[in-house]
Amino acid sequence: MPGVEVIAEGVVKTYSGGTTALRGVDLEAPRGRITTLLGPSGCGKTTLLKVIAGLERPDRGRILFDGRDVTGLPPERRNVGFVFQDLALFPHLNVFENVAFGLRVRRLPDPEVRRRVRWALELVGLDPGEYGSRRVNQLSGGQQQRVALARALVVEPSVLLLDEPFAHLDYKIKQRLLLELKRIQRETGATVVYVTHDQNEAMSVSHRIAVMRDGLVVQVGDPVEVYERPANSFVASFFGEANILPGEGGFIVVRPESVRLLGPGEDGVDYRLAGVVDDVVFQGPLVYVYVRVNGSTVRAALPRGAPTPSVGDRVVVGWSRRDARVVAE
Amino acid sequence: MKPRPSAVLAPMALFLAAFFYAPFIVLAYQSLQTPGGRGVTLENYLTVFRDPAYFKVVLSSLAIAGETTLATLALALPAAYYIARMSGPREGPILLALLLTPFWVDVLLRSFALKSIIYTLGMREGYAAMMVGMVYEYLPIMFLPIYASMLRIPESAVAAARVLGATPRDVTLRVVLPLTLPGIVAGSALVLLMSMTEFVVPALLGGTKGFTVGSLIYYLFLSGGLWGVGAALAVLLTAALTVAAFLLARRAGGELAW
Repeated sequence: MPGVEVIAEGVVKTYSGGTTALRGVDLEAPRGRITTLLGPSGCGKTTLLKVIAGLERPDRGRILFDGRDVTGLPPERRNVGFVFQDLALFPHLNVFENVAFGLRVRRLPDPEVRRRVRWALELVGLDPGEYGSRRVNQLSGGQQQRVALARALVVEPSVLLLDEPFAHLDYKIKQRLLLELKRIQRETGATVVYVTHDQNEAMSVSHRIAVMRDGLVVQVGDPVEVYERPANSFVASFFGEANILPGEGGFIVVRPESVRLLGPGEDGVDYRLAGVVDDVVFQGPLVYVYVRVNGSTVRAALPRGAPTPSVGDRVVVGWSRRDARVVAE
Repeated sequence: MKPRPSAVLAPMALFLAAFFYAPFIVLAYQSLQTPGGRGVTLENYLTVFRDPAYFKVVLSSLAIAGETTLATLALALPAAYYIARMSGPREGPILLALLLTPFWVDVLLRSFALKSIIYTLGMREGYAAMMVGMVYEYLPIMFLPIYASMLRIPESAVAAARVLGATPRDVTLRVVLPLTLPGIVAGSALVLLMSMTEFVVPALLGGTKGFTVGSLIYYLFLSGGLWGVGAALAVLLTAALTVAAFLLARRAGGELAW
């Protein structure tokens, strides 16, 4: 099921209470790609997802599916898949009928319904024979997640919309489901828009990331691009870790892994600052060294096994020009 | 720390023991007495089963209760749907208050008031007048469980159905109604069981037509002087209702609580 290209143009949405959720959002979600909307809670990412699905009507702006304006279409005529944060499985239906729901309302013949439900359950790794007749409240969180995903996929949606679907799951199950989501997306060629506030999730699944803040998309790009060239200090600190230091023309952004600890006489950097080690934190593959420099703290991430200073040591930190990025705000 | 079961249950158990179970034992004893009070007999029970008149009253009670149930369901379901799922945040509470206020008035007063309204409309006591009174009395008992069930339906379940291709009509038939079923079953069972023994409304509005098991027991005791038969009928009715209540409670505890 090749997905469509989804475009949002100048979308504005103000809720009846007066809060403005979206303040003129432009977004392009390419066909057959996973686009992530990343931002803190309240940034409007879920509202944008609902506008794409037709569950919320924008005050202004348009939604295009492959160039076709769908802004005026009700949700049932957009052929989208939506996985809700609370999953919203139907408690009165068993697993099979939950997945079959979208096919039943399309009045598909029974054999076809059975065939496609089986396909969808197998796609998400649930044995149709074993799980089909179970009640949904008898399943574990991860299994319910798979049912929700199968239910959204079975209608072969033009675009699959996921609203923080793995937020409530254990870390390990979440990692596994993220990998499976990528596999399913590859196998089906679906266009996916994935909402999350978790930068690690965003890094693991995205082909493309749109960082949102206060109802606006502040930066769009592939993960490496956004990581290496954040548009401002907000993006820098929300997507990955960053040292943000006041400098000429605004702020200097340096990723901790670009910061080096310099031995006496050691060179090869463009900037160097002397400071005192405040803390040393072991984090598995990396050791973080916090260095107090002129009132601010610089974090350096050293590979495990590299010589590590102790708290209270006087050290010199440095980085090269190409690893530092100056942002205006 | 959990309180001791006996401490939690005792207040209500004592109340019911004093005002229901103890009198009920007296009633059961009464039902086994011969008319002169001189010996033990099953005669009263046999009368209830032998005389087709009693059976007819039970059937007509069932019919009245069934009609009351269907009528209140037909009125309550759309109203509950509107207030729970369509009304705005300001409109909902106002509608709910407007809908429930008439029922805070005592059934006796309400039935007298209804009587004068019915006369004004040119009607007289009879089956129709009694049904108006019955529906009036039992509407909130049908409405509240249905309304509560509908309120519990998560908005995201409705949104999920819409996104999956369901029209608003599909949503109502395939999501909202099935998820309201527990409320419909609970409301129907309550109205059915309670209206079967209704006495006030048939007495005041039913004229010669409205006659329920409740009315019959009343007349056996107070007009007919047939205490033994009245007691036997009351025991049988209580037994039947207890079984029904037990089945309902068991269902409500399991399956109904989706």
